[in-house]
Amino acid sequence: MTVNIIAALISILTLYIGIIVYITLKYKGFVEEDILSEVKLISPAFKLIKNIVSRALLSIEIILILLTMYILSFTVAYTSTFSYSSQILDIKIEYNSLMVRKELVPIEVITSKLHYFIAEYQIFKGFNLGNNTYYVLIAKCALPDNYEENSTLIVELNKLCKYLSSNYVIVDDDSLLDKETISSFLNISLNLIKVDLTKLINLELAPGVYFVHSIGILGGLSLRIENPKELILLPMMNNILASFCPQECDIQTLVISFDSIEKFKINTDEFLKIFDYIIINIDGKAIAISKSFTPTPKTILGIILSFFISMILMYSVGGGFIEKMLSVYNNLYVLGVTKNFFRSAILLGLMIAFLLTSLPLATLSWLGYVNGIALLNYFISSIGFIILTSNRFHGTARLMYPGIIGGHTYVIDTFISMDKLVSCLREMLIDDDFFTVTEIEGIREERFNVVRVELIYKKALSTLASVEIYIDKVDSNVRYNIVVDIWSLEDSSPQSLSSIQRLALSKISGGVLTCIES
Amino acid sequence: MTKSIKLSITGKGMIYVCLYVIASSIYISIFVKLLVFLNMIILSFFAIIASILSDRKTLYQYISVLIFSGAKKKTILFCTRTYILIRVIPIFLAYTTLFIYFNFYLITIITGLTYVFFVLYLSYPIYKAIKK
Repeated sequence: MTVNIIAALISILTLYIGIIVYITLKYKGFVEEDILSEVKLISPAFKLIKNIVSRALLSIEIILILLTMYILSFTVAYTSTFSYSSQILDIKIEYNSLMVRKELVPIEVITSKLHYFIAEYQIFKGFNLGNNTYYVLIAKCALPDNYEENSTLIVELNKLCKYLSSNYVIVDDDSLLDKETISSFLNISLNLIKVDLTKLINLELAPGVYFVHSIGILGGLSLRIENPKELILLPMMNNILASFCPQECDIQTLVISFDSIEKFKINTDEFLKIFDYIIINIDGKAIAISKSFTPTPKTILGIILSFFISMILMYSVGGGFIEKMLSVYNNLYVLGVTKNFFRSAILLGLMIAFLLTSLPLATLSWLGYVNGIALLNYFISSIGFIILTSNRFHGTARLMYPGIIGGHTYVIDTFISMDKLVSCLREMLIDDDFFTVTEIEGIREERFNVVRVELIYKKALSTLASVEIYIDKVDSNVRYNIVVDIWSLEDSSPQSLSSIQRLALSKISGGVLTCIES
Repeated sequence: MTKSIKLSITGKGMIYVCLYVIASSIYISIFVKLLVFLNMIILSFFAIIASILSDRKTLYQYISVLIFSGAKKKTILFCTRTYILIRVIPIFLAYTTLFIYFNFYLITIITGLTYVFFVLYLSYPIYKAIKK
């Protein structure tokens, strides 16, 4: 645990140092030398998502929602309680407890905890002895002497235990294995006895759990050893497990216990630390208790309530965030961004933002300071918010119309030649108080003509207005479309630039009208 | 002042506050723990801010009208405080009842005092933001 925490801290520290080094190298010299960055082509979709993520992370609404979600997640994690998952099995069992683990449990551990039991190790590895493959089952018996033999299970187990206690190797009647083969394989002299193992093969201790090797149920069919000839039962002796499994091998430990039921009721935790699941006989009912934790109903109610609380807060502040997104959408609508495209951009942007902000919580959860319920609560709430925002945006965003851009259009029936218009405009703007004409030219295109005018704003240092007048025919009339684009190297506010743009537009449109009329 | 009370009660935010009070009261009564109480008090501040944010347009108009009609700063602050106070009352009543019921007297007093400070000081940023 401590090693894990140290490893986690080191990895986080390395990550942070890496990020700092990367940022330092990337922006090195920007402050002192003010190098102009290279022009880079960035994908518009990427820019849009980046914009949404940054807006989401900086808006007061999202910060409020995140704080709420974090507080609620910690509260839910603090109040959550767990219980072992249990299930009542509809069967009658003839033992007090059955414990299973899909790994090896040393016999010393079992003997220290239990008094009366049968422990068996099912080795899922075939051994070639002679010309056949055999599956080994090693068992140790510690049965009470005066146990009532009123059930088939006890009769069967008693019979086997009698032989196993006398260090006999048990094989089926029809088995071809002989004493010499097994003794030479194990390098120990052992007695071999042949009994009918058909009953043992079919001995089902719990649904899907057999006395012999079984790997569960598949499609209603239990997967276990079907042929009694393949089975060898060996008594538990020193190093016998090591001779079959020198290294790691697939092994299942199964313990049938006849100790008092109270012992299992009280020490459930202790037994579940050793075994994967245990089945206890309580008042004739078999109850299977598994190692996996499940949240208690109270905890689930807590999660639902916290989700409800966070949804209330999200709904009340979400409107502000949607308004912010709508203003972005209004601007983008002019560029041809559709409602569905923007909605998906919001979805993706919010998902990225919430994933990024979940990292501290995930780290804490990974380090074990808060339990997984906190993360679960966080993700449920964030998914709720994303769906809510997306749907509300869909409902709120109506069909948008482009606002006024820096342009004007006239459709007039009088035509004036382009050369005349150019010279007229030059004369008109030459003595202007606000603008100096630097360039004016007429371009003839296939379908339309363009008059291009470059103006410098006199009252500023480097503010330019590029004007384009598109002239084309619409039916029998002539259309004059004036577009003004303003740009500046100065740090001017958008408002002042907009007023210069309007001024340039009024000069040009007035000039065009005067030229046409003259 | 009457207008403040009316606006505060009829605003959409009041419904959110009431829903929050119901949900958090159930939560508190299920998990009777000090840390849960403290977290819920912090969340109640968020709930009030959220409810004001959801009604920001109405509040903005109301205070703008007050500013245009030449009301003094004191009057505007008083009206804003009344507006917030109405929102705080349901939370305060519910929480105080619950805390007294579960014998957390000290927390009750602290909660009362924090709400008073909250109402007094939240009016300043609201006033400043709208005046801008």
